[in-house]
Amino acid sequence: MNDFYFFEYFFSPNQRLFWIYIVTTLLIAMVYLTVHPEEKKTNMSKDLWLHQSATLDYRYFMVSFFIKAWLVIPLLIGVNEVMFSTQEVLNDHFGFHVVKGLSYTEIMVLFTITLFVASDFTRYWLHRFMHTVPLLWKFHKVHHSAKVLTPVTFYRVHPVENILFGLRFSLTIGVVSGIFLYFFGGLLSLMDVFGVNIIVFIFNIIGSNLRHSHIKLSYFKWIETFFISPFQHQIHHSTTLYNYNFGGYLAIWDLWFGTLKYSSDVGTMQFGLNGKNQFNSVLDLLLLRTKND
Amino acid sequence: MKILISVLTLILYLHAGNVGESIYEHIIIEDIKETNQNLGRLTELIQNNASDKEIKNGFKVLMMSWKEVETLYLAADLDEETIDIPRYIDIFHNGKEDIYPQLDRILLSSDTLDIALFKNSTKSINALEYLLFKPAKKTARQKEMVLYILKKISEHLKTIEIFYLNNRALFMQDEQKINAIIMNALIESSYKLKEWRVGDPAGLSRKYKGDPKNERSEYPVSKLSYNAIEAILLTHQAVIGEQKFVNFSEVVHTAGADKSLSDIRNNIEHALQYLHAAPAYDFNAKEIKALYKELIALHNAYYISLIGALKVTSKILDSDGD
Repeated sequence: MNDFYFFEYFFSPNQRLFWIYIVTTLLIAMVYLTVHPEEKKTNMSKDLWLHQSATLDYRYFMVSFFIKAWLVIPLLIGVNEVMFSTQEVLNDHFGFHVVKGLSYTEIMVLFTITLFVASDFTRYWLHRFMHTVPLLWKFHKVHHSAKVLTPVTFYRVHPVENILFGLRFSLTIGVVSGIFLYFFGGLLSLMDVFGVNIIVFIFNIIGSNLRHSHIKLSYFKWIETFFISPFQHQIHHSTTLYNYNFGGYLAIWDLWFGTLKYSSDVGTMQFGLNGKNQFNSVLDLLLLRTKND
Repeated sequence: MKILISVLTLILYLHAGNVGESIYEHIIIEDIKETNQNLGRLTELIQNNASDKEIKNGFKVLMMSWKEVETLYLAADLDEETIDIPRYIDIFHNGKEDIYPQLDRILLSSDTLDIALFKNSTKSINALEYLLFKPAKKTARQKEMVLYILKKISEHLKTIEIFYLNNRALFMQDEQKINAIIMNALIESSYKLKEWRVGDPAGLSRKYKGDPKNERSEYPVSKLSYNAIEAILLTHQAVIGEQKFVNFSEVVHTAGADKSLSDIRNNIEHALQYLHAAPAYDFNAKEIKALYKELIALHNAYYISLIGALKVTSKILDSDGD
């Protein structure tokens, strides 16, 4: 498994807090607040950034790095291993086949899009299961317990959920890549920017970090049918509508499986969990110990 | 900000300089020229009524050089119209017909060869093998058929040679593509080597597990199947082994996959050793079983080197929730 260093959070394009994503997020937020000056007060308030929930996010973020590096990552199966096994199984069962007739560029585009769509699809379903399976919800509650949202809230995730999402990632990317490797071999390549799938990179520079923020950036309704806007994800973090908008980047899964909620359908809302279910410390988060337990 | 839309390491992996050009000159062109020359020599031997031993040896030399051409046959990926040429020359694992009874009938018939040998399979190197090694009594008809088949194979080989000579630029212009094609050729060849040429006759492949049969080998009549395997392995060695000219190892090295490169070279080397140690034409021998294992490892090592270079795997962004 890959080595993992703390500063990668800010200097690796694979991380949501990569400095370029932060810069572009700030730029988008500035433009948004210029157009909506009434929201400046909330978004630039000390009460938001130093809220007990936010400071817990910061502390958890620091601690979770060590948990990830020492516990989560060593437990995860590598994408390469899944990829190799997938092509091996296909070779064993169906013999050797190489698809000819597609150009290098066509294969690259096809592979890039397929990886993105497949990953987003499995992400939707695992996320949905995290909500609908009672045992998994116990762990996912950690993420939803944030009463205020900051980009760091993205990392308020219980290690068990980290493992599940990591396995999902390895299996999805590994199986899809293995299938492409089987059919295209050396002609396989990915459209990437700094090593990141170009589609993921584009979504990250256009404001993925605003998903966990109080910038209520929404899209036109028809766009929100295809892509989840930051505000739609904020709806997902509300105390009442958390069983909607499970999607990562694409909204089509929510649309097809009946869990889509448009921004225009929602007014004011509160974030976090109702009543009980409050976590007060990093240890509480890790031990799933709510204040009423 | 300058956005680099790249194929990241794969570009490095598949873009090591001069590899395509060097492989073109040192392997592809040399092999096809040599094969054409070998075919010419065999034709002369037959026309001059050389001894049976000389003719059979001439066939062996031709067959081995053809295997070299076939192993690194890149023309099909550069021009779809050339895809079928190897199938006209060689029918191993191509179709299920039994050509031997057909050839026996044609030997006895008086039809003109244009009509009698109308099927590609009866004009293949496999048909040639049968005619040179099987009939106990050499007849004028047999000689006539052999020369006719050689002429047809020669035409196909000339087409390949002309294609390569006319398309030298393709090997220089898009090196990334050429390297990808070379990699695919090595992977494909290693698969067919382990499954078809060794696994099937040795009863080690999924299809024939526990049922070894020498007759399933590539050249069962002449019993030159080991030689075919050797020629293929030597081609792999030329492409990726330690050579005086720049070859594909440069690409793997550039990708930082030195461990894989070392594994691949060792696998080829060991496979050759097992092959040389195997008792003559006995696919049930323990050395052949060891050869099969080595070929599995070789096939896997090619994939591992490719996967290592691909790096489609970003780190664990997605291990965080949302």
